[in-house]
Amino acid sequence: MWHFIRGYVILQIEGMGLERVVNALLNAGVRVRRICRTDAVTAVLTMPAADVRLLFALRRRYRFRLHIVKRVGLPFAVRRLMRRKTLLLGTLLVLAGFVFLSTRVLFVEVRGCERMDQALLLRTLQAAGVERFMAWRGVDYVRIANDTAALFDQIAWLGLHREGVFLTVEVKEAIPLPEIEAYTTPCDVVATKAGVIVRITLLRGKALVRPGDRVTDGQTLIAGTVEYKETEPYLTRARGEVTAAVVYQTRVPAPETERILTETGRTRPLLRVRIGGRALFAGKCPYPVFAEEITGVSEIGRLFSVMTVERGVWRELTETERRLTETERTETALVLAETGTLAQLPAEADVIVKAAWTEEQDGVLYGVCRITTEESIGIQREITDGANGRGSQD
Amino acid sequence: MKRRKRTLGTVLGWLDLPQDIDPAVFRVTVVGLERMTVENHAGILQYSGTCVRLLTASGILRVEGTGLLLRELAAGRAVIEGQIRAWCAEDAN
Repeated sequence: MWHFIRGYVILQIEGMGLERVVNALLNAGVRVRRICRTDAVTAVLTMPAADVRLLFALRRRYRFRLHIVKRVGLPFAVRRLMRRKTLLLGTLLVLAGFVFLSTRVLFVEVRGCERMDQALLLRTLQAAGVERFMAWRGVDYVRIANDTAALFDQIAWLGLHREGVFLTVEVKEAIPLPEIEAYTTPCDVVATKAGVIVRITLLRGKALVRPGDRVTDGQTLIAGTVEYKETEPYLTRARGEVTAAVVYQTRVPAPETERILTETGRTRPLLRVRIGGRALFAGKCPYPVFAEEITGVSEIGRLFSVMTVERGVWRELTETERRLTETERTETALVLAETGTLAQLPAEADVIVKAAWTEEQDGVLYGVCRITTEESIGIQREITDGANGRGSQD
Repeated sequence: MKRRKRTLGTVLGWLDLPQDIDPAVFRVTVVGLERMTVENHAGILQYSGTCVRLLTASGILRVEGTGLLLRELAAGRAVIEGQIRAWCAEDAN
């Protein structure tokens, strides 16, 4: 490495008494390397570029012929480069561009912005001086983040993090306050779907059903009209939790065929460059349906951030139709029925019983899935035609 | 000159010091059979692919082998590489 930096020359010396030449070089303090005899009168040696002039001076005295085989090292590379003015200028411009761009924020990313208008936030930050291509030195990110967060009620906390040329705006949105229930409007609690009552927790009003009762969709479960023996009925806002067992059932005909994706055999090479996890360059797959296979990932270095190059192949896929066997038809019908039934279930429902079977009707095979859940079915509905009581209890 | 060498050697012997520090004594370090370092030599007398003769204060050091290459040659230090078969002092006095 040191020899390369200083520069060295590989020389061929031809003449009698080459040992004397080498000794003369040694006496002059020259460090000679890799002396190799090619024949009786010829030798190849390596010496520092700065000492070659001395060898030229010895040429007359010791009568030998000198031939420079190769010039190696940084000084020669620089000298060659200096002759190519345009390349040198271009290199300097590219380097200057890299240096300049490395002092700027090139990418701004907003994270955690779900309910809030991201464009509005970016415009506000832009007004505060945070935008793409801004100089990242000397910016008080904490102050800007706090000032911006103070402008929006939807933001609980805002952070600005810079890593290299990437600026990340991290937003923690404030949890919206729950809507305050209007207690003034009288209402009933009615069933949203048919089922069998499992339990009822009455908070206000009069329960009209008991556990074990079968109810239909829209039936009043807790009445908002309350009557006492010796008083006139009055209206209130009925409240309570009514849990019922609800049955969901789906019946799906078994398919005769299925469509599967198969490879056509055509592939294209894949090359994708990422900086800091973000795709900077990604080729476009020419196939409409394809599978992607990454065969190798290599890290190039750390210029702004870690640069990775992904190599792989895109494989073209095509849809083909395949006839199913009886067993596959049965399994597919059951899976489709179960999937269809599960899609109907509300997120908060607890599955109690699940049953799946196949049945044949008019020569057609069906898959059936029945799921029984326990879920809350009561919902408040305003009383519109019974407002003849004395008034609201609340 | 010889008297000075003898004097230095005698002084080193009296002081119980190693002879290595005497610049008039050459030192040979052989690493395996492929690399030999000769220190305190005074120049090269002959060099070919099969034989290297180095001048030292104690005489001529002869190294024989095949494919011999003078890897490094500087004042007082020579590194010989190749298949070294033998080395000997030609003219010990």
